[in-house]
Amino acid sequence: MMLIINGEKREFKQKIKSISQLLKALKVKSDFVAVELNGRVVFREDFKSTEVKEGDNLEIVSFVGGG
Amino acid sequence: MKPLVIAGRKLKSRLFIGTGKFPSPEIMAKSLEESGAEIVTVALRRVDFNSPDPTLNAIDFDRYIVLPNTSGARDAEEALRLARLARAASGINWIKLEVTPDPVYLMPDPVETLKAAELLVKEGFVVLPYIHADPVLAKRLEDAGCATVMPLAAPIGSARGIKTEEFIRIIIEQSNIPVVVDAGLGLPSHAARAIEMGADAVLVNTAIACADNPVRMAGAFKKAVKSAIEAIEAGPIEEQEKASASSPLTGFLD
Repeated sequence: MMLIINGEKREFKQKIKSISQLLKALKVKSDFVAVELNGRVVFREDFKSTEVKEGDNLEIVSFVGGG
Repeated sequence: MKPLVIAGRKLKSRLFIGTGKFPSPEIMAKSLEESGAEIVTVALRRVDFNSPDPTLNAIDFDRYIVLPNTSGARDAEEALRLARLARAASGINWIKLEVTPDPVYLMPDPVETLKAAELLVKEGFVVLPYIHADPVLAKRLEDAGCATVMPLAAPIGSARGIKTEEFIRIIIEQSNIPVVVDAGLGLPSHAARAIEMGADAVLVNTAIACADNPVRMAGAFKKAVKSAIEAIEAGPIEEQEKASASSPLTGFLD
């Protein structure tokens, strides 16, 4: 399936059902990660239950060093 | 030393540290420790899936009050988006509000900053806005319910010291919320100057992170800030126009 992640199209061989599964597939630890699905913030407690569909646009952000 | 209180949190340290631009996460962690800082700032960016930023793992979120910023925001809307994402990522509702549409001097946009601050306060954020040293804006932000104001000393990363001194002085005189001098401090003496002027705290990043020896520089800033606070609490003498002899003036060898 195809998803747009951080502005780039990505193809996944397997079907990704939820945000939790997506983070696993991307090898991202869910601590200190925030996800926007089609422009709306998804809260951590909803990562498992939030479905991801073909063509969805996701932003996956986390903290970096900064002033 | 009286603790600094921000949004009900008592702080012993008057030195806030930014975590950007350190040569390595290990040096950053050691510098934070050496600085004695309790508040450390971080930025929010897209995750790089190929090489994730290792800074995050080196920050002890239990030990420090982590203050996410909205750096990169060019208007209020972007700042709000970043603040909401930062809160979702961490559960932290403190936000250092930065809106800097100008890429050359990184001057904060006062109109967009005020607009964003008003909305963020309504959404329950503890807002610490980065601003130009504008006393009127500082009052407007205080009225909007901000937790502090963070006027700039000089452009971010410029190491030029307190170029806005006269205006920071007015902000300090008028403010009922803590004043944190942010940006442009290059030397421990600049930080000491800010505290001696009556600022409640200072935020330093580049001057420490980009020093030849960041850990030692962090210690130097810590000592300077501590000295300045001790001096303020000791009650400094007033400046005078003329000399006032410190030796008896009773005449030559009388």
